[in-house]
Amino acid sequence: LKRAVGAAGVFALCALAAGCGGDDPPPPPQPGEVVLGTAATDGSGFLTLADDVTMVAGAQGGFHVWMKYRLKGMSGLEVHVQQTARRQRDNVLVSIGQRQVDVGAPGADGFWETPLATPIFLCPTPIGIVVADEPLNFQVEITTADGEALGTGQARAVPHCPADQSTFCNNICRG
Amino acid sequence: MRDAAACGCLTPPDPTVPIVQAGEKILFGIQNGIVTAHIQIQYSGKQATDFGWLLPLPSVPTLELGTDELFAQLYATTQPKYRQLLAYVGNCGFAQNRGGNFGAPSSSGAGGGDSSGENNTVVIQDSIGPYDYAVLHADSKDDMLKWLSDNHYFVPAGTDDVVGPYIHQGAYFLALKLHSGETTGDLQPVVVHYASDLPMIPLVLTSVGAQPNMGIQVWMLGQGRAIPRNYLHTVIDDTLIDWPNAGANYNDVITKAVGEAEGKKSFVTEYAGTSQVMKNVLNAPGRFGSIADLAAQTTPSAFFQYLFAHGYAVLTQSRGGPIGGGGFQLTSQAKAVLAHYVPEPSALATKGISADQFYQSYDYYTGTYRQQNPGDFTGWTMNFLPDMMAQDLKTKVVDPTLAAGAMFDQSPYLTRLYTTISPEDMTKDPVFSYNPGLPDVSNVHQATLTYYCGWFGNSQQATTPAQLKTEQGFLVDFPHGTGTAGTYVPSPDLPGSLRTEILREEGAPEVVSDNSHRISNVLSGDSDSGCSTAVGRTERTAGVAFVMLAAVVFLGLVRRRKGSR
Repeated sequence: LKRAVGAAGVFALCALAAGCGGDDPPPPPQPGEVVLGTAATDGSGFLTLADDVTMVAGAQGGFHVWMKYRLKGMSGLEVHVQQTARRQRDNVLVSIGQRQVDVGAPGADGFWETPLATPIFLCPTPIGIVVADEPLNFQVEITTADGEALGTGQARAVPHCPADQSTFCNNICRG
Repeated sequence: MRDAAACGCLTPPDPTVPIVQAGEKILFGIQNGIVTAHIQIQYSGKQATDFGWLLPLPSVPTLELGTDELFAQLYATTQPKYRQLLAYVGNCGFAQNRGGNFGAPSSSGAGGGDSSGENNTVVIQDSIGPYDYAVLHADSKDDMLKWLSDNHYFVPAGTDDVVGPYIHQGAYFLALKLHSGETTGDLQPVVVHYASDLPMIPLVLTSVGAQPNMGIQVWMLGQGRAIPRNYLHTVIDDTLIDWPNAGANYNDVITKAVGEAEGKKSFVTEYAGTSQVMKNVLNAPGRFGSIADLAAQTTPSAFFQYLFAHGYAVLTQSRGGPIGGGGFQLTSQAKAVLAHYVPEPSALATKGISADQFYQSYDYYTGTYRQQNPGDFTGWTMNFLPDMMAQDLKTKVVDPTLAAGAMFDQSPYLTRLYTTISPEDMTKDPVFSYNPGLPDVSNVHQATLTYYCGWFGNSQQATTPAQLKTEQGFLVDFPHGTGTAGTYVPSPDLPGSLRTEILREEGAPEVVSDNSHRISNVLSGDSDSGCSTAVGRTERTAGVAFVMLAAVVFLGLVRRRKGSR
């Protein structure tokens, strides 16, 4: 009984300390704000990246999801952008891309928006990895050239093959 | 027979003419979502009008001229090299000359219609260097194929089927052909820039004109090691390598190894490491001198000497030694420019005098030699225009070479991947990506062949028991010696691959199959191929070595005892 009481005491102390037990500390606040979005099939506009999105035929027979993002608090900076997509159910990395971006002057709402949509390359997929009709977590991390975090944006969406290329698309988007 | 090497699809003028694409050599670099692809095209069709080339692209590309020197240097610098060291245990009489192995001289190991297209299909129609090119909308297969047909880009049978996946709204095709009057020897590499995150090779389209076991050589520049994203990755079984002959059977081993992968779709990493191996190779400081100085040369001889003195001539290495017998040679692009203004008389070429010899000794050939052989210059004319020649050289040689060299300064890491694949297996387009966490891969490999000559000595190398320890640590026995045939005949039971694995964009390789035990079992098994250089039993030599070692110890003890008495 003494052991049980002792263990409970240690657990309580750990819980109070909010650091014992392996929980990661909350990330430090980042100075910038990032909002992820997507675009129409022709790459125009700024649409919410959520729920169901239709993949776009792209690189030499591949398929991708358009990504756009709006940044706040980073104007005038040359930033490093890393965009990733991971499958929600097992966190498997299905796409990664990096860019250097010159953030321009903000609009009236304080946000600067990427002028062109960039492709999140999804298909052909890595071997054995199904992407079509799978919930994916999209993330964009913005850092300075020195690696200092400026902001992170996330979104969840389910990419689908376009109806007019369903057979070919599903062939290369299902591992 | 036609040979070509490039990605995309060759389109001969007659669908019944068999086309053969012998290989592809491509260097990819990616910066800020823009793929830069240097593509080497090799084609040996007899007539320039026979040449046509198609490349599907995701966006309107920009096109520049490349340089074949890039591929020559890149190929030589990162080429897999297999070296066999020799070791001797005991009194080996033949060890003094240290030359032979497997009865053969030792190797250094140096791996050694021209309609205007007045329709909406054509986006760009222009020319660059020796090429005419067009960028075509690929949103309608019929329109695109009609344009190709109208412009004599005949499409071989089967293309209609395989071109389908590349046809969609917003897609493009780059079509390339030679100017009329150009020779097929003028096939200068091209550089294509287009927007994409990851590069892909349109192998499905290539399958129409490819030859069996076509080699695909890919270099990727980036921040870390490159991987085949949707193809398997193979590590070859190095017991199959012809070590005594510097890996002369390398291509066969690759074909066997990747052929064991599912669908025969796999790449081998031949080199992964710093791109600094190419530092200053193409863009050494001061190379090419000054275009203004070149243009200021007043005589052909002075002009040509300037070229030879300022890096327009290179020593190009390939497997087996310098191309063309060695010596500094002008690049093919430089020679093509010079030939346009000051051609080498055809009679000289017929006599075996190379263009390099002609330009390097221009005063001699146009002076003393011409006086002695006036007939060789009958009908010969030249048009020495140093200003135009210098500008042409700048456009076709200097700028492309320096731009190619700069790529290696911009990206710290270089990966070389290779595979062979047959047309029937070209059912998936390989895409390449990166996994910076993967380790480097050296292109230099080493094994050691040890001869066991015994205490009493052995002067017959061919019959002396020997053992080869490969880089992967396998022991290959030659209990009856390495023979005199000079050839290495591994057991046919050995697999081609050590491992087949999946490389992902993060994390360690996922092993699909591991043949380590199988290789060990074959090497230590009872099977005997019967060849004089057959792979034998590992234990046999180990046993022989143990007996010899015991004999040495025993004799030493006997002598010590005798001495103490």
